[in-house]
Amino acid sequence: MMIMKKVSDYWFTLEPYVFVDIKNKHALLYNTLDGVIIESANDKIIKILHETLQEENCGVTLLTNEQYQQKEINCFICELREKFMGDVIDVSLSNGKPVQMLPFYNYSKEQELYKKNNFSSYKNVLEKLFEISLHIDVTTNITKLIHFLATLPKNLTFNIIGNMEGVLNYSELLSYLDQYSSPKNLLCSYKNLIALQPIFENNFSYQISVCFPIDAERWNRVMEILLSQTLPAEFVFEVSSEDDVQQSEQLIEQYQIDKYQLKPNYTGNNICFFEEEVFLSKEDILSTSLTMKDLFARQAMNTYDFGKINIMPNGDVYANLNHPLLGNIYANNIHEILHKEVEEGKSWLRVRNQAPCTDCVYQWICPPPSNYEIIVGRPNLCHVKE
Amino acid sequence: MLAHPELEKASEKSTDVDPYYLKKYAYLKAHGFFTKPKPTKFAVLEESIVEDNIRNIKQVVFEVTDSCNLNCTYCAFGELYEGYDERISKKIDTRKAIHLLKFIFDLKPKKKNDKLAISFYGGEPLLNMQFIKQIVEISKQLNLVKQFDLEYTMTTNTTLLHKYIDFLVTNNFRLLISLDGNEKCHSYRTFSKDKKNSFQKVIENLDILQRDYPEYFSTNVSFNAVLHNRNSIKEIYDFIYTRYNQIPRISELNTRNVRSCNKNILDSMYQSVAKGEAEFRKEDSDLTRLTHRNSLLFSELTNYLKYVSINYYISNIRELLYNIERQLPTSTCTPFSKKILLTNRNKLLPCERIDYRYSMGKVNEDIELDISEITEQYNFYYKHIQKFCQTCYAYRYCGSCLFHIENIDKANEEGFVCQHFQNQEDFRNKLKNIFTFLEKYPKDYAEILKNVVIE
Repeated sequence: MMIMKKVSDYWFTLEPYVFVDIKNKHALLYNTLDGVIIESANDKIIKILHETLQEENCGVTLLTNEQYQQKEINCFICELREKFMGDVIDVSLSNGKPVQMLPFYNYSKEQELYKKNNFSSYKNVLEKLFEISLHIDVTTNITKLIHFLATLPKNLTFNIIGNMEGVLNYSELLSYLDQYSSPKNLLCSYKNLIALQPIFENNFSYQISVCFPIDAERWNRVMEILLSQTLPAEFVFEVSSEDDVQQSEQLIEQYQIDKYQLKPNYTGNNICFFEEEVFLSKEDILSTSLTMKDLFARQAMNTYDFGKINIMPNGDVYANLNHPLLGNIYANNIHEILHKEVEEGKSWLRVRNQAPCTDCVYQWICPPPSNYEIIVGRPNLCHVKE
Repeated sequence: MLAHPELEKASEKSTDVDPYYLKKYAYLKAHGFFTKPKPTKFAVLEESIVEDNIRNIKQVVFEVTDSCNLNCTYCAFGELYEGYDERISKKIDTRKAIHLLKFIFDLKPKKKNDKLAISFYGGEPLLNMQFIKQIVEISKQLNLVKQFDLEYTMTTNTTLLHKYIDFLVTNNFRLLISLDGNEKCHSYRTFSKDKKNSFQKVIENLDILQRDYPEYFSTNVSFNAVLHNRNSIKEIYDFIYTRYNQIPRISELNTRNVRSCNKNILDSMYQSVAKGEAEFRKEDSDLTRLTHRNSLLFSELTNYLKYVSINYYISNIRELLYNIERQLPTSTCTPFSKKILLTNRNKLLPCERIDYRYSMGKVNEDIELDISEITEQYNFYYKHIQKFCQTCYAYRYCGSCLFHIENIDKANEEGFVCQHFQNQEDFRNKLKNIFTFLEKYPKDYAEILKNVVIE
């Protein structure tokens, strides 16, 4: 559709639900309502977009009639309007220059912005904590661990990780957690799954990891245990090859497992499998439907790690096991630990802000950096910036 | 969002609408725009939050005495009002105050540079200087272990300041001075003994402080002025800025808990800041430009950007993690999240601006704070107020404190209404003001998002 010819100038604006990124003379506009995109490498269009995003312009820029009549600009505006991602408004329709409240992003110091707005000494950092992973083994001092847990909010999700079989008083820990209604996940290998006493069924569930090759005897035992109780269970198949993927699919079908994930496992020598299964292409990146909230999240925090800590059997605390130690529950209180993560840590606020992603127009459309980037030793796992 | 007039026509189901905007309207509607808002779901207050707030108290306020050497006509503890404990020239119980202080120092986890403010409030706090000196001394001793970033603050009428300047400066007190402007403006603030305007004494003491400690004065002294029928915003700014190079905070007369027999008196004295501001900002002057960030509309724009707009997540990062927001109804601070007040009757409250009848604990031989009961009490209010909040257009930020809502203690009774409720029309008017302001000052948008932090 063409807009009627007028001699008037226009106010050009983008819709607030449109995410814009401009890198190296390449612009991406992403409509968060339907995932539709517009890309442009045209200098004139990029100039208009830059002007619109300038802080003092507050989301609206003047488009002269002369500019409007230029073919490439006119085509761009037609596409923008067709996809409901922006508009032009005749200047005679408003008394002065209007404003548009666009999402405030691509500010070069985003992390500082989020830090000062959310983590000042007046804000309660405990409100940001929502998941604790308790790594348990025979050396864990359950009594001291419970003492520490008592200083935490009660609405957290708890993951209890490890082989419970060897821990003498693990039921003391489960009894303690059982008094809270928040979710409690028991994470263990299928090789050492234990049957939970019926009294501990207040929002407990299993997350069972499966490595290959399968030990058939132990697998069958797991199936028996699960049949004997009502706790929900999710299987996590750790796959290192196409063969593992096929075996997982067979097990899923054979045992009619309805809740599962396939989790790629990097062994150090299966990069080809990763390139095939994990690395993202441009099409993969753009196929995900993202809301504006998702895009804010990707620029603000690491959505895999934010709000989470791990407590090891010796009391050491990490936000992410691949990153430096934050403290120890026997020596530090929870506030000291969390403040260390916010001030010096590398996990909660780790976003995709390293090269080559910083030069990529899909930087924020792409998922946040995961542990795979750390393990594989590359800041980007994609085919866009090889 | 900025909408083409034709889109507005489409939304109003007008005839003769440009077909493009009919299509755009249908598109937006299919994606959730122009639909009736769903009732908001709210969270409940959890005991762990209250527990944690108490463990991490940021400010302890002592009502040092209920005596005051002034008898300001509009004082919230004066003849115009009710709902406070009777003023009987009672000083705070020092032993109990120390007991509370030790309790807080014991409980608060050691954290480098964590702030702890110790504040003195009255009556006129300088009438009980012995107490203040004791608390300063003891808090310093207690802080040898915890090493908090300790700060002393005081609200004072300054008429007795000349006696204690050195002590206050030495201990780096932050002073909030009550000053309503020039002599005429300040005339409701009179001495109890002879009803004379306290202005000359206030100015004399402030001048001494500024002359002897100019640096301290510029960093530690701030002003609060009350707007009424004997002053104006212009006069207040003009006097305080010209004389002391400071921009004061301007507040309105308290309109809650007015004795019914005094309503007319209060009405005749009352002047709204919004109206006063509008008048003041009609002209463009150095003073209007200088006080731009203190204007009511700047503050409304700030609240809108921080709590309501699409950029809400910048200052509410936690909400990015949840599909359903975990917001509590109204804008009430969670109990003791900002401070704890000990009154001269040993009552504990979360703020000095809450009626003392809502006391939430006591200091006796023990610190009596029943967390379950406090949480239950708040949840009772939340449960009953949320029927209004659910459909209120200002549900994300109304600026209202539960305890300032009339009859909140009768929230479960029929006939209870929230007087701060905003319907579509109210909200539309509010937005109109905010956007008109932003059109005039478009740079404020980035300025607020980048540089204004709400504590």
